[in-house]
This record gives sequence, C-alpha cells and structure tokens, in this order.
Amino acid sequence: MIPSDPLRTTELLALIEEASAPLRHDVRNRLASVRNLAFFVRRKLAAETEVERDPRVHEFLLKIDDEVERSDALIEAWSAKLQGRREVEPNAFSVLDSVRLAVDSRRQPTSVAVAAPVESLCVEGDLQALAFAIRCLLENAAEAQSWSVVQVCVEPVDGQCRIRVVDRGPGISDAARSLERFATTKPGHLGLGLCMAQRVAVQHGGTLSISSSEAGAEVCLTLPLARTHTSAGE
Amino acid sequence: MKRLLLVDDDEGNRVTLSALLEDDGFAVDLASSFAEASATLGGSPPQYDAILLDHSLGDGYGSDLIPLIRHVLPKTKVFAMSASAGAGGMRHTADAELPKGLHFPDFLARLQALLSAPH
Repeated sequence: MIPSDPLRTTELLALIEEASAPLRHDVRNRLASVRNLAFFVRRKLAAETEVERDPRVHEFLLKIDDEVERSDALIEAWSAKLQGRREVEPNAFSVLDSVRLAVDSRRQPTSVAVAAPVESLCVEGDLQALAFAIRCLLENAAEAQSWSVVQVCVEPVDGQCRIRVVDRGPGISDAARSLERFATTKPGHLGLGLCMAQRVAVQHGGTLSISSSEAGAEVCLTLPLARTHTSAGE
Repeated sequence: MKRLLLVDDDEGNRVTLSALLEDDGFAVDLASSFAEASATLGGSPPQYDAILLDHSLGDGYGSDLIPLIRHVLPKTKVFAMSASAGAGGMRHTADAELPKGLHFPDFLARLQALLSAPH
C-alpha cells in the first residue's frame, strides 16, 4: 500500500467523467427532442388562425424553449468543468515515464516486467492520465492471474507507440462486453476500468484493443507518437 | 426533393426530426438500429443525398456503417450526429458533424449548407 496515491485526482475525475457520460448524453438527447417538439408545435400554431387561442400557449412554448436552454447549459457547464479540471497543456512526454508511474503507484503487490526496446518513445498529452490508464490495465491483469508476472511492453509500431499489457489469466471471454460501462463479473468492482483506459486512449488520439486466448489476455493502447518522438536530450 | 436516411435509435429524435425535415421539404427514410440501417443499405437503397448518422445505436456504432455507405452509395454524404460534443471513438470519418442539440432552424441551415457544399 503506497502512502499517497499520485493518481488519485486523475482517477476520481476519470470516474466522474466515465460514470456521468451516458447520463449527460441521454439527457441531452431528451432535451434535443423536447426542443424540436416545441418548435414543431409553435410552427404549426403560427400557420393557424389565432382566434380565441389562450395567449399563454405561445408564452408557455417559449418557456419550454427557455427551460431546455437552461438545462442544456447546466450539462454543458458540468462537462466544461470536468474538461477544465483534467485539461493540461499537451506536452510530449516519455511513455516509459508514464509506465513507471503506473507501475510504482499500483495498488496490488503484483510482479510487473517492463520491456521497452526503444526507451525514448514520446507521445503528446497528459503523462498522469496515461499512467492512470496503464494502471487500470495492470490492475485488471493482476486480478486475472494470481502467480505470474504481468508483462508490459512499450514498442514503436508503424509510426505509433504500442503499449501492451499481457497477463496469463483465463482470458477475457467477451471483449466487446468488457468495454461496456458497469459490465463486470468481479464483486466490489464498478466495471469502468477498461472504459476509462479506452477514454484516455481516445483523448490521446489512439485506440484500445483487446485480444484474448486460453493463454491469457493482451490489452493494447496504440497512440500516435509525438512529432518529436524521443525525449529531450536523447 | 432531397432524400435523407436518418439513422437513430432514439425514437423521440427520429419522430420529431423527421417530421420537421419533412415539413421543410425533405423525404426522410428512417432506420432505428445498426441492423436496420445495414439491411437498408445492403438491399437496393435509393440514392440518398445524405445519411444522418447517430453515433451510439445500441446494437453498434454509426461510424462503423460508413465503409458500407462509401461502398454502396459513394456519392452520398454522411453527417455524424451526436448529443455530446466531440464524441470520441469514431473509427471511420463522416463528411461533417451535425450536433443534435442545435435549435432546429440552425440545424436546418447547417444541413442545407453541407448539402450544397461540394462532396
């Protein structure tokens, strides 16, 4: 157990963002629908004669628009706050530094072997966010196996940086489902780790992929290399 | 008359958006899922001017329909609709983004501008 988790804030923000993303998306869908319904009714009414129409009909339709605008603005402000809290100046950083931070801050006493044939690979973005994503993968891997070493390999592939986290557990039976929010078979878990890691990969312009067999699972983060893709001084 | 295919698993959005677009002179076909859109595109689809594609379709991602659209209807424009700005994870690129949350007159103006822009 480490005394203070250097990735705690990153983890909390990622959890809030991931857990609230479907809610924000669905509520905005509903609001868009209400706004369009109000517009449809207002346009139809405008085409009719206004004889004996209660004047509040028009007024209330405008109020619906107003309420929708305000609700939408609340969600937008919430999203902007989340974004602002986690946004950092996108800097080129060493992927290996990010891996080391992930390994050093892991919360299980798992053995991890890091292989990096090219040590100086750099990507652009947030070192802590990537470390957090890698830690999610390490912790998943550690839970899938009880005795062997989790392998982490950092390598350049086709002008990109690939970070592979490999375990020797039973494999992931349904890779697509494992990327659904709150889909977990592990008691006491939220089922958000892989989703958060995928979000970080996408925020860095990359992807997360999963391959699995009876011999274990391999989760890959593939990220574009920074334009200058070696660390300063190397 | 411009012909559109609206692919959205959200019934409320399908119903309201298609009604508004039809009132503005568009012919609108609907697909409520990835499977239904695939079936429409895999049959003998009409020459749509544009396909409005929601991202999350429940049974798949709208962006994963783009290769099929490009293959079957190469002249058709594809506009990605989303309720959240900058929705990540798009594996294939649409011609433009059309945010769902826009006030309809703005949505319509943007759609018309996109339709009249060169492919």
